[in-house]
Amino acid sequence: MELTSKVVEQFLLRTGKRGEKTLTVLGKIYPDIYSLLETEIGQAILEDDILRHDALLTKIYREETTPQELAEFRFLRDYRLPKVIGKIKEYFELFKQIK
Amino acid sequence: MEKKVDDAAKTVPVMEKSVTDSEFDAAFQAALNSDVEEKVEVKDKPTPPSLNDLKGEDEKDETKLEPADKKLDDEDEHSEKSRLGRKFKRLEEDNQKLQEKFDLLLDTLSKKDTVVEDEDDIDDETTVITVKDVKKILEKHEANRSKRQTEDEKKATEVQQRYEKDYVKKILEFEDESDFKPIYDEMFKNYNVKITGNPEADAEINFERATAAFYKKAKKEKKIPLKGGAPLSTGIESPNTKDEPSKKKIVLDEFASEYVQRLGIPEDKVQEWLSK
Repeated sequence: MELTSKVVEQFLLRTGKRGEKTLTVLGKIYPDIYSLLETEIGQAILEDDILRHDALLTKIYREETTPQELAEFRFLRDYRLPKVIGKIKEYFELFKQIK
Repeated sequence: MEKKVDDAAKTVPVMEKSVTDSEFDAAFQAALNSDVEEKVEVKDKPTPPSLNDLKGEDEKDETKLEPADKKLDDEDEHSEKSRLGRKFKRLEEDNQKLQEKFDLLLDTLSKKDTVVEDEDDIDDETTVITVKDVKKILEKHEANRSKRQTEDEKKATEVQQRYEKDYVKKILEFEDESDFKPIYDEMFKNYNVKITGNPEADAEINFERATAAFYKKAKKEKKIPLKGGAPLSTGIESPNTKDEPSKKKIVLDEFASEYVQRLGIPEDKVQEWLSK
């Protein structure tokens, strides 16, 4: 996923001030995305969160969960994963706009 | 003889209609006889002679023909001569008539040429005019020209007066606005120009410009009242934006500039693209 100088130039010439705002948003999200997707620790945490969510979902289906596990599942489902996935999604959508 | 041939020819179509055998035989015999006679006649018939040859041939024929036939031939010759004579006379008359027509045509053409020459002469003559005539013509032209000029000037003046009247009328509509007097002065000092030709539009544009200029000046001249006299310098110099008011340099915020740096694109280039 690379953005060349030419692509950015065309985007900014096309969009002007709005393009600058897009760059700002990308700049704000980018550190998190970089940490998540480009670093080993980020990838491991993200993978762990997703796997844990799946495991808890299976336990809930089998009705084997404890109340703590249920609370952990809710945290992952309602807060953690939507936040991370939302950021990734937003980043790639903006990225697509530039490309 | 010719009459006989004609009679035979006339009988043929009659036979085609309804004839008896006896009538047919009689007609056939008559036709045969006429053919024989005609052949003999064709052999004897001379070629149409010219008038000059007629006399010589007559002499020859007289020697050859028998006295009984001679009388008949003389009559024929006489009729032929008279016919040719009439023909000759008619030709002569025709020729004379043609000659007359030709002469008439030539006369007409020669007259036409002379008329053209005359017209040329008249043209040459008309170019010769007296000084008095020239003066008269010039005076007439001058009078017309001055008349037209005065009319144009009059029209232009009327238009100008109407424009001024409407212009002032429109400006006076802004009288209710605050600072009208200084703006009015500013307008007549620096912005009293004809732009579109429409007095109302011009008045509006000029007044707006004067208003903008007046408030700009007023803003510059405005001083912050400080206690104890003149305002002191803070020691911080503001960037001089007076030199380039139109080209405002776009400064990227920290997120955007960091992101651009991560992409490996120089920030000034991004600023350049954004300012385009």
